[in-house]
Amino acid sequence: MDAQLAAQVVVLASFYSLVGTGYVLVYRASRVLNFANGELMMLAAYFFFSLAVLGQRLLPLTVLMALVLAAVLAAVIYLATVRPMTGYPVFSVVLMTVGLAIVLRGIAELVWRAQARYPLEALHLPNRPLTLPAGVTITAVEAAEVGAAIAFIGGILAFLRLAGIGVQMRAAADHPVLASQRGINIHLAFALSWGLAAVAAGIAGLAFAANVRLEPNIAEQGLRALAVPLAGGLTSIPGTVIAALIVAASENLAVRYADPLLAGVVPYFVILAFIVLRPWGLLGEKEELERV
Amino acid sequence: MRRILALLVVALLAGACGGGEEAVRPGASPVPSGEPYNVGAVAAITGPVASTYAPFTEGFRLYIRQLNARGGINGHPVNLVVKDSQANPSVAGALAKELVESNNAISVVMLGPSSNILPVLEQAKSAGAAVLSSTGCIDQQAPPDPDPLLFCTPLLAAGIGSHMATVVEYIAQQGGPGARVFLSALDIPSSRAIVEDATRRLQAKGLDARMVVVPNPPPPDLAPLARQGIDFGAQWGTGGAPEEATLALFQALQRQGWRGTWIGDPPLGYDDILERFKSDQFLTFFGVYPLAERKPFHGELEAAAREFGSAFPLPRLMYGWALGFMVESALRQCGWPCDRAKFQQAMNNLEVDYGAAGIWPAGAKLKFTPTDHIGQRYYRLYKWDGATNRIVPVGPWYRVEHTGKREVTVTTVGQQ
Repeated sequence: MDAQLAAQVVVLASFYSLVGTGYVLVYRASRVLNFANGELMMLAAYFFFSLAVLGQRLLPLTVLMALVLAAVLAAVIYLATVRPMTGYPVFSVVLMTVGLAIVLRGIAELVWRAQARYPLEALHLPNRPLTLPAGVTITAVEAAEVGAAIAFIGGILAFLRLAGIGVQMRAAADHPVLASQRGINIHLAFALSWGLAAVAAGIAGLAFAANVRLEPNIAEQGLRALAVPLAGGLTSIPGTVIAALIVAASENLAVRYADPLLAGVVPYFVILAFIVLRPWGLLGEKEELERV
Repeated sequence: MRRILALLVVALLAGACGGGEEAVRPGASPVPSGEPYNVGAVAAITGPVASTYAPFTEGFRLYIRQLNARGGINGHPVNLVVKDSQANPSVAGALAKELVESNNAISVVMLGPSSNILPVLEQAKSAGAAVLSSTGCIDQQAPPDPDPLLFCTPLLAAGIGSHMATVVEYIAQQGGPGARVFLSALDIPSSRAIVEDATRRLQAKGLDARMVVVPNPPPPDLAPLARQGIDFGAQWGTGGAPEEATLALFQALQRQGWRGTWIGDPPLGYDDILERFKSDQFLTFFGVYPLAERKPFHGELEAAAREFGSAFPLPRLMYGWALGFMVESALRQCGWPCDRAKFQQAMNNLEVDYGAAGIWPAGAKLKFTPTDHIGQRYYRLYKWDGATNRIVPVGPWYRVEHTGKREVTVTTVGQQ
């Protein structure tokens, strides 16, 4: 694999890892496969665009505000739609997220219309190509995306392991009844999981919008990334990262050495392969299989 | 809480999916009081390709609104009913049926991907209503034996053979034999057919042309595809894919340091695209005068957008506005009363003076005949000029005309 190809794999894997982490965080907390994850990704990017249009010119602050808005929205969605469904079959909640995805996309089309937007231009910022050693070229946004993916995923792993609320989130995810009896506010923990999931997906959305374009349909890229947590294990963030590298490498190799059209098929081929060979995913838990 | 949420959802869905009738707006001009001309439109204003078709539809609506505001056609308003197909062929067909049966539409305007044309035609045909496909065209519209009820009306593109004819002509002239051209298509039948046709034409002219097909929907990162173009040594790039796929590929090429020139096909003829890139690497053909040329029709469009409101940038409304001008011409030629048969007859002999309207160069007209439902198109290449910070033309207008299904003639019409 040449250096340019390797760089492309890392960039794409960063995108998939972030979106995949969004799926995992929600699934771990509430056992819900959130089909609106791509829409949350898209909305975070629209918040970013709107803040830029409204005159917010300081990039770090714009990014931060957009991600906070996305997190708050996700937490509110949890409290307003998922929490009231406590006790319903998981299947019902998953179906609800399908409906939620349709509604969120409809809202985006109504509010921002269906035209393509370019947030970086609203901020008057260029997306310059960076030439790295070995002649590798990636853009500034792609470099930032890789850095953000490493920082966020590393940070979230540390947070879940070391921070008090992070440990409570894990406890609530592992055994909600016991956690509740120990005085943990499980709904706060779940809402926080939804919020962090929106931040993960949101970083990917911002990067995609800044690098390519922004329109309601970028939510489909989120659905496409579902292959990654399914392959990596729906409860495992490290598994998601490894699966993201596998899917990204498969896509890039297929385009380079076979047919570009395979790029659209590869993620689903990876899902099929894992369903046959290791249905619980790379680092997932076998006991979760029934729920999936 | 649940009830409020449910009501909100219902309201939003109704807003997103519902169609709408153009109200006849009272204004300073005489309010049309006669019976209306009923025109239906099946438009992909939401769904996967909405970013292309929603603004197009909006431009069309704006034209009809200002037409009604200035008195309609001899006192008869145009009652335009727009229904959202979401680009789904079966939905588009069902809506066309509804328009001709329930709304009594004398004609159905189809604003969506080419895959929606035939389902709409099938339903409209049963009622004898003409279909104006306004964003893409297919071989069934080309001479010498077009479908009697199917007309190709967009100015941003025409038939498969003519879609990239000007691009081929320009690259062949500038690049010369042996020049390497990288072409992209989206993995949908119309885009593949258009780009395969252009690739063959370039190869026939002695150029080294290579086509790549972008998966549909496009993957998040087109860098691997762009790499193929760079490895190929492409000096020129072009494509017949929808905007998002084409521009994403050009950007991916740019990001990898490509130094060639991209020639955009006419569906990329929008001021905002050139203004966005501000690059001497990206030139594109326009099917109407760009907004930068400040022709009278731009002023009328701007005034209508201000009066009636529009969420879309003006350049994106131009082609829909031009469609409105064509529909008005057809209705005027149909006269009153105008039924489906008379409207079809009017379309068969339609003459649209786009030159007089300042939409095309002076003297340029679009004419349909019973054996030609595509007619002529005029295209001109424009680029961003960094020295003057404005959009400027590159060379003369090209006149493109179908002589057969995929046979075209391309002539220049002099500097305008």
